[in-house]
Amino acid sequence: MENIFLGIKALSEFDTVGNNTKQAFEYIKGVLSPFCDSITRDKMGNIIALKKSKNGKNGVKKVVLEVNIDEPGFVATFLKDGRATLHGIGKRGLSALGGKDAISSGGIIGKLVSDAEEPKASDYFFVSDSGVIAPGDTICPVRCPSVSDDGRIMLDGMGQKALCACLVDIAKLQLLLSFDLYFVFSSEKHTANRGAISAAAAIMPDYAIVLELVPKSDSHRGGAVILAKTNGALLSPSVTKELMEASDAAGTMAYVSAHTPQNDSSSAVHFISEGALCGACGVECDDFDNKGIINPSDIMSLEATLCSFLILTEERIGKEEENV
Amino acid sequence: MDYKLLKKLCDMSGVSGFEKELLGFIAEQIYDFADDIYFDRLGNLIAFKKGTRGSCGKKILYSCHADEVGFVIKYIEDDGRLVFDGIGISDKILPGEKLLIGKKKIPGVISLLPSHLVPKSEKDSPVDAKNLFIDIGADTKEKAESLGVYADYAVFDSRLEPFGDKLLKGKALDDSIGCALLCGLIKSDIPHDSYFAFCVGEELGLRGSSAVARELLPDICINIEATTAGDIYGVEGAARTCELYSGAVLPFMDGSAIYSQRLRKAAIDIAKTHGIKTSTKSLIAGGTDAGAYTKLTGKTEVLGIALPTRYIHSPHCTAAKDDMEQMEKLIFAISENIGAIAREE
Repeated sequence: MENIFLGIKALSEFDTVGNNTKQAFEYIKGVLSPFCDSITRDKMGNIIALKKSKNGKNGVKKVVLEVNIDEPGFVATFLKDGRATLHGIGKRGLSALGGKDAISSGGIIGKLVSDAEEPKASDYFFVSDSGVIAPGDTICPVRCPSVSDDGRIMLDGMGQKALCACLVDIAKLQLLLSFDLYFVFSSEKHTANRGAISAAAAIMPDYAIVLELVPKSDSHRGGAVILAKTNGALLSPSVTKELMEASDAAGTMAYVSAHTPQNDSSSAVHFISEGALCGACGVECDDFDNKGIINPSDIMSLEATLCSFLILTEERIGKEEENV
Repeated sequence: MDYKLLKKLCDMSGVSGFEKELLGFIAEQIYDFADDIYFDRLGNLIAFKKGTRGSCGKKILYSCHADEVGFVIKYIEDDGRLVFDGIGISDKILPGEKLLIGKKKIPGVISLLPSHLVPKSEKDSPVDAKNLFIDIGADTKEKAESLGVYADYAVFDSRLEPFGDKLLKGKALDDSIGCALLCGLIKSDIPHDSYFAFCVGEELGLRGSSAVARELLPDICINIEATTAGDIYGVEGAARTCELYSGAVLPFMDGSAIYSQRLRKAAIDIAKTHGIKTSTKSLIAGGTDAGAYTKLTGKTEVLGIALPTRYIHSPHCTAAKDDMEQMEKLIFAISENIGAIAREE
């Protein structure tokens, strides 16, 4: 659990609004360099870590584990009288941001202020005594994760940070696989999945598992959540079944959720990759639009499920290679 | 700035889906100056020009779109009215507008119910184009067809002309300005090998540029556009977006793309060095072909350079000649420095 908390904490120290992923890239590169064959950042801001297949052959199958690393936030559009007008990127709870400390992509610390009773994103201004920001600078609230009395991790605007931490953990494993395994931390999800589209076009995976947080449901049973359907893509029933089998094999808790994410990356992967077999899974997140509260044991269940999935995929792909 | 060419491009018809004639004209303009020139299957015009110093090591693309907003005639009613769909045009501006239909430029008028006949209950209702039609003075379908109207296009009946204090006003500045500036660049000596794309279907959703993006996979794209200026009475603060007489607009973000910060900073530095005026957009709205180049390749950095234009997507697009000249200076200066920009990465 401490690993996950530290991972979330590290990832929350810089903003990743839009395609502003340079600092996140430096962090992930620093952590994963000993474990991956390459870690790159493309022009869209996608961070892509690759574990090449053990055979070192070309033309092997490609498997992608994907999560978006960008988060909802703001971009400064107009400066007047010491206040920066803001444009919101991505949906997030806005009502509780008034008076909060915020930091710009240029490192300027200030506050988010609004005169409106129920402010929209465009009702917020960024004010600062410590410097001047420029139009185009991104801004997000300053935040630090904390642990509740019942052991859950809370982070203002959690976004997908917990799932990014999960993927970083999995990438540290010593895995000998007969396929190329990509860990994609995609950008610009909150601006129409642009990062996932370009990553999918560059990699053209055969299989892709997209990680998503889902809002906590009344029927929350704990463990990993396996999604049967998303709004934009036809998830492969066989991959969904394999994720359930993987969870059983790992002895972890998982269940298939009725939730249908509206804007996840699977649509990009499926559409762009000429029909990559796509699945989606994640964990439940309480207070989804505001605080963001996750149960670290759910993340551990998800990690175990995904590791088990990779092992089962290795067995299946290994058999396919033998039959060729 | 070749204002004669700009006027010719604005006054020609190039509605999305019907860009062939306009692109044919552009091809004639640049034929003697490009090393290779071809149309792809979507109708995009793509040219390649060798630089005096060869390749800079990166694939450079200058892009604009040839299509303009306009109308498609869907069918002719029995009583001679033409039923249409607008492409990229707000319904609000339509009633009473003059149009030219098809190659034969048949004059028409979009219907307008006289105010005396509008029921009180509908006086404040929004305009719905479904309730409008084009009147070409024919009272039967046969008469309309005999005039030469079929499944055709229509453009605003408007020509580029001087206006006010060194302004120009007319249709299709979006993106005839881009086409004119790229023609000028192709006709000049450029230092490094570069591609030029005159794309189709931008107003329909970045159609042409999506194909160009995947075919050429450029490393750097400079996308030339016109953009909305809201510097009119009653619009204050950030909503003004950008202003006339403020030079070339270098956007950092719009509805379709987040532009390359690196390229934008390089453009600002070059502009400062050369005394060229630039500004930015204070409202995130609209979309350009940059959206296709950024997301479809993952390897393309895009710089947007735009002309601040009042009343965009109307028959009366209005822009300042000085802003056009600042854009031209900036594009040429960037072209001169593109090798250094490419190597700096």
